[in-house]
Amino acid sequence: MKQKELPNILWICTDQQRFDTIHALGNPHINTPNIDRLVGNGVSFSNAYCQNPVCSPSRASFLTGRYPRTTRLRQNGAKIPEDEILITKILRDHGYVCGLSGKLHLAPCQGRVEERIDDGYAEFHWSHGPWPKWKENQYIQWVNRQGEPWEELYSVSPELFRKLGAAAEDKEGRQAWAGIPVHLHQSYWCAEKAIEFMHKYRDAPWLFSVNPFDPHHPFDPPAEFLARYDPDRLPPPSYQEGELDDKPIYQSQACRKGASGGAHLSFEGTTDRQHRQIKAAYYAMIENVDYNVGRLIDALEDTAQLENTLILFTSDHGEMLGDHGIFLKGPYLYDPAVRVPLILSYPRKFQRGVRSDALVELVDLAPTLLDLIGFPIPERMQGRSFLSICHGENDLHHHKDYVYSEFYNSSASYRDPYPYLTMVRDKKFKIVAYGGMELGELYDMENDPGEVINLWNDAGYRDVRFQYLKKCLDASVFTIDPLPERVGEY
Amino acid sequence: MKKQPNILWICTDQQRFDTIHALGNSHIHTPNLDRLVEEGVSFLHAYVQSPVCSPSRASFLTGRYPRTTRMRQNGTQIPADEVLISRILADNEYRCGLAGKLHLGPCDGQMEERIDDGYHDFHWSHGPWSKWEENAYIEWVDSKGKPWEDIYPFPPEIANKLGSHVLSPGGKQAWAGMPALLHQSYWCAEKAIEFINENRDTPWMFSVNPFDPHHPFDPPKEYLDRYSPDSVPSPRYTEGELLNKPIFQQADHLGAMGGRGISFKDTSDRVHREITAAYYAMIENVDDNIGRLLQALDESGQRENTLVIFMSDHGEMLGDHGIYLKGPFLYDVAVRVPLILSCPGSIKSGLRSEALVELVDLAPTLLNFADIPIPERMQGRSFLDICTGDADPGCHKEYVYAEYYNALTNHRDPTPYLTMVRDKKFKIVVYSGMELGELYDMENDPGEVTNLWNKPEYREIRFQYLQKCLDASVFTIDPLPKRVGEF
Repeated sequence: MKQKELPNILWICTDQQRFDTIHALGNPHINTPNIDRLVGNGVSFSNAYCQNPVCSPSRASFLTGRYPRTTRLRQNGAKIPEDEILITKILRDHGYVCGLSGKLHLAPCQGRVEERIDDGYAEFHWSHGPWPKWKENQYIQWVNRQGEPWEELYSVSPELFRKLGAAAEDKEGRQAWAGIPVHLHQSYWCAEKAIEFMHKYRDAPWLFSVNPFDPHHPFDPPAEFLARYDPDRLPPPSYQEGELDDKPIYQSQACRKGASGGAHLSFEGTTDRQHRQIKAAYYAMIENVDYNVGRLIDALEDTAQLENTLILFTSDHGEMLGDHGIFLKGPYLYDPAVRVPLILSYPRKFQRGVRSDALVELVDLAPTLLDLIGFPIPERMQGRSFLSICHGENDLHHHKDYVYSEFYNSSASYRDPYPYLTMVRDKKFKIVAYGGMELGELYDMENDPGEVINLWNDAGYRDVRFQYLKKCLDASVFTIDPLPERVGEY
Repeated sequence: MKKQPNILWICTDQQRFDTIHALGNSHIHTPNLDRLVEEGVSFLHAYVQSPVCSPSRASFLTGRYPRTTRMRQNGTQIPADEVLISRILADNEYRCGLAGKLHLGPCDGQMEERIDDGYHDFHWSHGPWSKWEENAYIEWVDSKGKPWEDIYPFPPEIANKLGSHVLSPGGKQAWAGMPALLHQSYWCAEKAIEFINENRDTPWMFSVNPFDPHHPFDPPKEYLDRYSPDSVPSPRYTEGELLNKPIFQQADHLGAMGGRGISFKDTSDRVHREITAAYYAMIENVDDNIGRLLQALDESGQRENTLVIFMSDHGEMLGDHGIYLKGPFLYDVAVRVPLILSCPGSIKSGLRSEALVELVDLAPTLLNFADIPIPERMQGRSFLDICTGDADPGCHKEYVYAEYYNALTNHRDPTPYLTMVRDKKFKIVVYSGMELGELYDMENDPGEVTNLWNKPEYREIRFQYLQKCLDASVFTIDPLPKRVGEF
């Protein structure tokens, strides 16, 4: 492609957003008018899966186009090896200007700024999360420059907040509360930096990663969005009493004792009303994100770049939100945890208003972007481009036969035993194998899409279980690094 | 103060586990290996993690699984961030030397590129032919009077291709090669002996890595003459045994290495035994050189303070199951190797351990022995306590693991991706992307003749072992990078 024709890429990646939180894609309880515009103008993938249900491994995977264990960043709190190559570096090397606002999280961020590898971002407006724990947090610096310091704006005392970490409970035992006002919110600031960037780099092809922390817990949307939701009118989480009895132990532990190995809220320790309050707050946070998506689209229009910009909307992984009696995330590979929104809007070249049921993996994103731009896809990438679906050239509803996800001791909160989960999901079944443990999970995704009934020990499913366990091992083997390349016979 | 123990690490190439007289092979003559058995600890169930050179060597030299080192195929370069045990020893005051093969980088048509491997003295000779100008063994032969090319029974343009397959002109599968005193195994020992004598005052490690008994099967004449084909057994092959086994075996039955090499099917039983005879002769030649090494240790007073290790990087099919050489086959004859550790006075003598051990355990064991901390990156588990008599010699690991992930170029469509787990009872080999696998009852069918994969009465076992296989595969995951915080 000629330089002028190279598309800009506005890559909006929220944190911990479930696939079922977009109005135009089937959720009647939430309002997402701007994301709906993207749906109307673009290609939506309703079966998009992340390769790990926690932040760093998932992000390392989709930014490199390689599977988490292959990047070796398969746990939170570890640092991505320097020889990993992000797509932003490749784009930078090919003349793109790349910018970021919000999270990157490819290295430990607890108590420190993450160390960067040569990631290709020329502008790096870092804010891991919306709290003042890091003096380098550019969002907090910005808030403090606006007038009132952050500590006075936030409705939960920062000391308590710091003690609870990114907890989801305040001192009154609430799981959801009003947080920072809209125009001082981290999502607002992330969009603001993107808008400034769009204005500045009109003449170069650019990529901007808008990486807000929301709707990651704590569930603290701006008051004005929280007010729009009546918890009583929202459906409760999908949970059936007893459903966890024959499922791996981490799940009933989360339900009873609390998320994150017991540190955070538990389904059983909260009331039905509180469950809905959390959902209300979660939806309100997404609505706040949506408002900022609107600002971004408007800014593209204002700078006459809308036509030449691919807008990508997605999230790094999902949120259990009480489904299966579990909140937040952990060693769970249910669809609410691993299925994410994925919308690509590029009316100049892509189909409009089209929904694909194809099974796609986020690891396919980097190859797809390179394919679009016309750059060669390096051997090291493992994903497979789905550009032809976007162009309407191929079967809309088929890309991969199965999707893969893993959780290999990815979070520090679980032990005895350490969880090593491998998942394969195709249109018919999902299997999750637990390394070193006898019990796994097997779900009939056609007849039990809610993944209520675990067929693992069901005598009638022995053959299916064997077949799918084999698919699981095969998928795991095929995550093997394509590099180093073979240069000779021996 | 007594210095740190030396390590004399002898690693042959492509040597089966059942080629040592004292450990049960009545047809072969290996007096020096027998001495090591008597004066050391022999592991009767030692398994490689890959049946192919580079991945196996990368694995045991790093103490990490092949796919974790990312060197899981021949013909690739080991990543520079992998750390060999020789590097760690060098960092701990050891002087490290090598003679023969290293094979952690592509060697076809070039000398291998080295990473920071820790070897101070590096006498490189990938294989005993003149195709590399950097081949220190060939230089040595040439310096003795007659050039190698004038001695070897085939002209160089043929000889230099023989390492890949064993079809020689005229169809001979075994022949007399270099004389013993000009043989690569002799030269490897020679370099080791010089090194042993030069480094008496410093702790040292020396890797003796001869090419033998890797094909072509060309022992010195004086050794070949000692083995009559009539006095060695025929390969173990049951007609029809391959019918319900994966396609790669049926293909290599017709010609090794994906069809280019020796065909079991088209060679007579007599020729099969000629090959076995030549193979044994090569090993006896290696054994005599081990004798020279032990003599050098004795004479320099270093025997007691030197841990002698004898092992190989993987096995050789040698016609068993109707297949020659190696490939996507994880039979015991391909993945079980000799492993003997000898250091009289420091570890037990005459001890035979039936424990299942992996070669990936060796590096941690050596570090343990030298009192050096075992780095986080290593995945093997030390079995030193068995060697010292402090643990039950009957048990180390519950299972052993091996892989073959498109490790050679010989097969494609399908391309072989094999994962194996073997415990005392069963062995399973899963072929990813293919339906058929292998399941053997190792207690009742140790010869691995009958594939139980599709037998209805073994469904339960097959499932359980598939699970073990996935688990083993998952647990090869890199321990690094370390987690330093919660997020």
